[in-house]
Amino acid sequence: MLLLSSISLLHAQDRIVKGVVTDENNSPVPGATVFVKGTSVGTATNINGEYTLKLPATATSFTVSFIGYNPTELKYTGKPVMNAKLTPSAVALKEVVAVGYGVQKKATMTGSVVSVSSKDLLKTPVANMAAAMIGRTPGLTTYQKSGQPGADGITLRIRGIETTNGQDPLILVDGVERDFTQLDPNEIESISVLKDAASTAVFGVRGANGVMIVTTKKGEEGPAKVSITSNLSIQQPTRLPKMIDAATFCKMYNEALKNDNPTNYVPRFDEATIQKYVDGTNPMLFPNNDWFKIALKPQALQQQHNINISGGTKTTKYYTSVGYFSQGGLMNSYQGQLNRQLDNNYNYDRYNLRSNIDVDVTPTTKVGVMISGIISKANDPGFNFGTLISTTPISYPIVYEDRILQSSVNFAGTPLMSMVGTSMTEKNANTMALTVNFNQKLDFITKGLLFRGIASYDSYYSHNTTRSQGYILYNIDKPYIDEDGTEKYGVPTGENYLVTDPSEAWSRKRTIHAEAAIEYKNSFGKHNFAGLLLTTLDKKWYTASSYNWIPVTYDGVVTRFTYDYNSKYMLEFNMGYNGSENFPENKRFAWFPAFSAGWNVGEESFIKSNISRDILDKLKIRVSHGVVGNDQTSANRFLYLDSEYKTSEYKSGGGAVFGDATSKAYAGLVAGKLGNKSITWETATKENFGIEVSMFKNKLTFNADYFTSDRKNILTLLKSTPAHISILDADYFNLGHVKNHGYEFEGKWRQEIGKFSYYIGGNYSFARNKIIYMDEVLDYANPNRWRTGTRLNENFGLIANGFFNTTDELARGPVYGTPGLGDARYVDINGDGVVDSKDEMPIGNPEFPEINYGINMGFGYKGFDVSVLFQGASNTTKMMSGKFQKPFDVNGGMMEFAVAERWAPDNIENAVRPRLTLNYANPSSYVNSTMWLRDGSFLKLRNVEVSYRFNSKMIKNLIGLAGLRIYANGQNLFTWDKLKVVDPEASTSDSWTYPQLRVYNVGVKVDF
Amino acid sequence: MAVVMLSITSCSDFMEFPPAAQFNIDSVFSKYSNAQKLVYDLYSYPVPLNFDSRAFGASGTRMAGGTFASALTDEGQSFDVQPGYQVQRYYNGNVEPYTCASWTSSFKGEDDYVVKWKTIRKAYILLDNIDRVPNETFPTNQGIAPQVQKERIKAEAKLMIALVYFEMWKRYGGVPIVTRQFSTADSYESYKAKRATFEETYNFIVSLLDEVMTKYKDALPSKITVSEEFGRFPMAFAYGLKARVELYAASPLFNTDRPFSTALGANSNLICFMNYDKERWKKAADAATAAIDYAIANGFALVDNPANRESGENYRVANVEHPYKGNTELMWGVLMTSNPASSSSSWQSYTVMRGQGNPYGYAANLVPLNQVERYEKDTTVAGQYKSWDAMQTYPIAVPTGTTDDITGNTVVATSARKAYAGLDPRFYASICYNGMSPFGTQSKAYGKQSYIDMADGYTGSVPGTGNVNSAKHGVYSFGKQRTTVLHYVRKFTNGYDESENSMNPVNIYMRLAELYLIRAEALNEYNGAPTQQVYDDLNIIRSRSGMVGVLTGQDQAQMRKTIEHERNIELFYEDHRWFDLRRTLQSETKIPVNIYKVQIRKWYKTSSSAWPYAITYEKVLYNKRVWFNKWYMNPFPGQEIDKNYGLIQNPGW
Repeated sequence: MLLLSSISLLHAQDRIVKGVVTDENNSPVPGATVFVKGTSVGTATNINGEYTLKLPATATSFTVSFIGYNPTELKYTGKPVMNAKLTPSAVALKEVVAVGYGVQKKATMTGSVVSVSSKDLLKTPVANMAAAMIGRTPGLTTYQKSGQPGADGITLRIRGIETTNGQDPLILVDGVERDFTQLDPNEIESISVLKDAASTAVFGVRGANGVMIVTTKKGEEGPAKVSITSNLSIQQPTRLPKMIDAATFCKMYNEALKNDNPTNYVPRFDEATIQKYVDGTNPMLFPNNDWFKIALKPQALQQQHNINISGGTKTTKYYTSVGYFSQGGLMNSYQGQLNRQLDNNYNYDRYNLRSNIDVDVTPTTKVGVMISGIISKANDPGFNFGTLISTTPISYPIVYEDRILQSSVNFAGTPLMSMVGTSMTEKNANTMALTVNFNQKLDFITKGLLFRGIASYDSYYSHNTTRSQGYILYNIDKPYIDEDGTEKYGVPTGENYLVTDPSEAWSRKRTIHAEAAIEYKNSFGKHNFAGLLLTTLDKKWYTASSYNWIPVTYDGVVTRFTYDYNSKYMLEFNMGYNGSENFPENKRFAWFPAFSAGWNVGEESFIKSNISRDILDKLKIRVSHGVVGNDQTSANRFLYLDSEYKTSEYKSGGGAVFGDATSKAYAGLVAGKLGNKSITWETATKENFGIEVSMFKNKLTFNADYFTSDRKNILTLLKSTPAHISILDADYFNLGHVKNHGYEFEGKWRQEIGKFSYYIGGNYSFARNKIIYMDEVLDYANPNRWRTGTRLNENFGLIANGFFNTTDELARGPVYGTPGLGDARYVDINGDGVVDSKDEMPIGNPEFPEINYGINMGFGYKGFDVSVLFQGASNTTKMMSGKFQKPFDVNGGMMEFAVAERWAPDNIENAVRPRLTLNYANPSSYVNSTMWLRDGSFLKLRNVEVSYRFNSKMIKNLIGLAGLRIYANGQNLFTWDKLKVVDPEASTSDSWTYPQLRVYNVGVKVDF
Repeated sequence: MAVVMLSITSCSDFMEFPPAAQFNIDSVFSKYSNAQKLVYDLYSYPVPLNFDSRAFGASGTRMAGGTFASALTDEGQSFDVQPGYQVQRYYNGNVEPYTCASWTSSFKGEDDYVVKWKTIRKAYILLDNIDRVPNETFPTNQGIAPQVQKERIKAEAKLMIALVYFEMWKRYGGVPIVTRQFSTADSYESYKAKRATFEETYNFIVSLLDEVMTKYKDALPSKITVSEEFGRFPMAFAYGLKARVELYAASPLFNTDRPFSTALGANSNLICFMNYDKERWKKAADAATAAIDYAIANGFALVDNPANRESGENYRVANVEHPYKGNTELMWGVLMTSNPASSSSSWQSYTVMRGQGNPYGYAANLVPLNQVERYEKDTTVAGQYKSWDAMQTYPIAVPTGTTDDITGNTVVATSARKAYAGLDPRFYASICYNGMSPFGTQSKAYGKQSYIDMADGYTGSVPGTGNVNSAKHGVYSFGKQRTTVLHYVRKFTNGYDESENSMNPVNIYMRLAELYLIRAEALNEYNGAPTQQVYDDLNIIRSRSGMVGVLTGQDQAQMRKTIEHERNIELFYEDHRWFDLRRTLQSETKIPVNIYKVQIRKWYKTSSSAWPYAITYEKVLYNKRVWFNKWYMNPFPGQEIDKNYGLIQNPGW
């Protein structure tokens, strides 16, 4: 339109200028804009990069611009031919991002995808690659509950939680569903996180929870490059619970006794005894155990080494890598002191191997072969970390000198037994993965046509051996005075057995993946088309308790059409068509379409003519809408099939006894659950609105996304079936409905001032769900108890309202249970005059944080680089349970923080927990309530790295190296939180496990 | 493109599905030996029986701890354990619908509503499929044609549905009528059955019983004669059950136009007939007569060996023994095998005084003094009762210088037993009492005592005043913290055996004796006065236990009391009294009464005396029961009401 009007205004004095626009490789650039600043005069280059501009007489210069390149201004000197060479802007035009079944140019992408590069992943000195993702991408939430070597399970969630089913995202490594957490960080090129329907629809059935795409490194043309990396680290627990010492324990225990029986109070520990614990002169009879110190070493070592060689010719490229990772455990196994033969410590060793080779067999045929292997060995003594918080400081057995002493005098504890006495499992596992891909250009049929295929085979085998060893206990119930006047322990019991023969267990798994695709990509003038038609087949065989070794199969078709006009207007259609074994024949396959569109508004002349390129480089908006699915429930398969009839023995409730003179129990046959013949997909309808901005010559970049997801037909076990229907054990129905929405921001400022460069950036994600419908048996009289309408996994409980501080208050009530002074007082939510479970309501936030954010910053000067990453979460609450609630329960210990928090006549003001007691049968204070709810928000200094890269010329000359970089980094260095008691990501229950780790690391990277 | 899409729809070929070898309903009904296991499973705890047939603790034990419903009445008392146990909730009035009608791990109700419906579904699965079983897979050794065996299973399934419906109907009133097995293909709307009226439910039960008695008369054996089949339904039970159904239908709680509560308004027909019809008593009498006649014609008979009347042995045999040991009156009962959960203390918790471990005497089913007082004290003159109101003292004269435990203890026990002298012989067969000789020999290992010694030791020169001497406590007094009322139920297990695990108690559901009592009650109500048949029916029960006939010349009201008393004594602890008091609208007067225990003390002159010189029995108030009129009906589980498909809760809940 603008062009047309400018033609109509042609003046006789206009001059004609022609030319060719090329890029940095001297290739013509079609679709580049050529215009005169501040006017409506302009044109665009044709497919050969040629332009013809009618330049108004008043104009002295004109500008050539193309997305992804710096605008170039040409001064008119009267020459009729003026060629322009464009230089790429900092946001490279060619920057591509791995997406489902392919790669896409970031500039024209319409889906919501973020990517983390190898450079950032390498900063994190941890075993688990998932930990390296923490805080680096908006929309991806990580949650680490444990730091156990080889088993530091990290929960990954993309855009929060929106179903009662599994929320694990689909993770692909080089196009195949594989575990990525145990890869060597050096092997990884990038990790993309696919968040909206536009980017995950191609995975159809499996896309609803989001997808992560991991791409491994490939060789590049050039001489062989050898790179060696070596890291040495020290690990420490981030935070351990503090327990009270022996003397405090005695006092607190007495206080609890007094609280329980004020009229007939008899102290368990008299002053003289307490004094002995204070003196500590007889640690054998009056021990003061700090079980954390006894069980855990202050630190453990970790190391990681990698050597990789890459390079290639024009036709053959290779990348090979060998990595070794070793992580020591924190357990103190007393191997030396007690002469134990088994080292009951955690340990993890891993070898990673990879060879990626790409060969251009002919100019139009490419074959790639990727072979990788992971060999790992983890030692797992199965230590029960819960015992550390459930044992008193005066408990036996203890280690004294070189013996284990036991006594029935004081509270029995089990940490020591769990340390030396439990079995030791050695877990050997190996994974072999082979991927072959094949690309054939079919330009002879029509230009831009390509056939490609992937075939892969993965095999996994694990073998566990478990051994154990007995121990000797010396009983000191009757310690005696030896001739030399010292107290000695009594006779030993038990035996130092030899290590037992190992018991064995193993499991196997193998998977195949195959895909074949036809791609088409061509441009007609400014119209760029791409199309994809692809079929996939996946099979997974594994050892299972039901349907053993019947492979899980997925197959389907994927199509994608993308179109853009001049990289300015983008349209995309993605679709997956999948089948799942879980559904009956007529419900088995389903279509999952998604539409998306993008608009590079910044390329419009009304923007360009009003806002300088120096201010606004890019302004892009994108929209997507689509449907993705889920077929997974927790480990159930073939949801439409009736379960097997199972024999049920009489004593388990099946069958009956018959017979007279001789009666006999006859086993019955019990029907399993009935398959649901009309079960089908769980679907999520997702929408995404995004904006991408880049300003001040790319110094400032800013992205924002708003999303909604409407998860329907959630696969749920039916609970509301009337009893008289009695479908024995309900099966899955399509019943739930959850809505989820949220937003994400990501911004970064970076600047180079001479040799100094710095950046600061951050990301912020918020996701909130709401249960629209769930199969809930509703307490109609008390809607405050309904889960429907609340958020998934929200805490429910009573509202605590202080304590009963006086007998008057107690008498007034209402009470829960039979409280005494110092027990919790609750709010009567339903106003029926009594406080009971009907007064529970949603309290606090869900445990899984709704808000996650990361802040990263850094600077570089010459060879120096410093980077810092903070990560935080909020809108999360944790419910304390177990020993976090109940000191002394089951002869347990007490945590230090509870001393100041407890209600006591002299501590009413500061009390946030009830009086101490030993009588937990009385539930008055020990139900879920706001009293036990804690804010789980935290901000962690996740990562700091300081590095120095030696001047390459200098080292080349001095020691003949191509590159040398030394660095020090640290993970989980500092935590700000409100919980204070344990790591804010750790459990606040008795299922407390291996602590989260802080890692200090030094490393060197040498390039030859 | 379209071609590719189409070809993909055949992609299912890639998917692998479980092979047909998966054991499904087709496999089950492909041969008799599989289908038979469904028949066994049909009998898996269909109704709350006294003894739970399942493993202790897991999903079994009614009201938690194995308490029988009789312990909710004045004839029983449960041990005093955790307040959460359902029986304690009845004692303190804290029964609530969320825990009373379902059996979760911590709250086991009086009834398990869900299990009843599961049983009904099992029955319909058998009815729908048993004809599919190939005839050639049936066993031939009994010479019964496969088709007849199939018909028998159908009859059992229908009788089971009737039985389960009766057990629901008597507790809840009208319930949804389910006539088929539902499937997941049915719409949720079709699940929403409403409660049928009380009368519709009654008609449904009776029509099922009539169908069994007519259509399957050649298929269902009148009496179980094959030893291994004992525990399956005989036809006589169908007759007997009908008599019981008619008795309940005629009873005042239901046979009325004035429901016990008007809270349901127009829906009151869910809990009673909403009319009074005297003819219902006639139907009950007729059904009882038909059942008695059918039973006797087919080999059932009251256990009545004239030589064993005075000793109570007839009564013991009728309640403890198996048919092969002469129990000819068991119309349907389930045998218990040896302790199903061999590693845990199953039977011990029910009625048996434990011989092993502490505390001695830990048992869930005890007998308050109220019941002990109800046994007549004269076998020759009806209606005479011993009073326990005043403290009773019995001197003990152990010969001086006795050192032999057996000799000494025998003297002590003889004196102790005097408190129970001359009672209705059924007392000794029903209740474990102080001074009783234990069954078995194990107790001699405990303090070398040859009798049950529940007494506490006391030192004092005058009986009634002195100090506790715990060193002299009887072995069975130690459990009194939990078993304060002291008397135990002996009826089902002989009271005590050296090895609980070897006992095979019978879960009695129906004995022939009950049918005589049903007829007596129905005739007395129908005729307005006791006819001779009423006296005959009561006296045939009494005479086989050595008791004189009831007083003659009673009017209807007096006879009503006599029959209630006779049911209380004869059917003691057989799961009747709780429901009898409800159906006769007497719970409100007979449940909230004082419950008495007995304090038994042995008196020693000095703390070092070898033998006591006296034993005393003192009646002591133990507690007072509560009653709420809403308890006339069980509540439906609160969880069911909350599902909001239209189930109407019973009044007051």
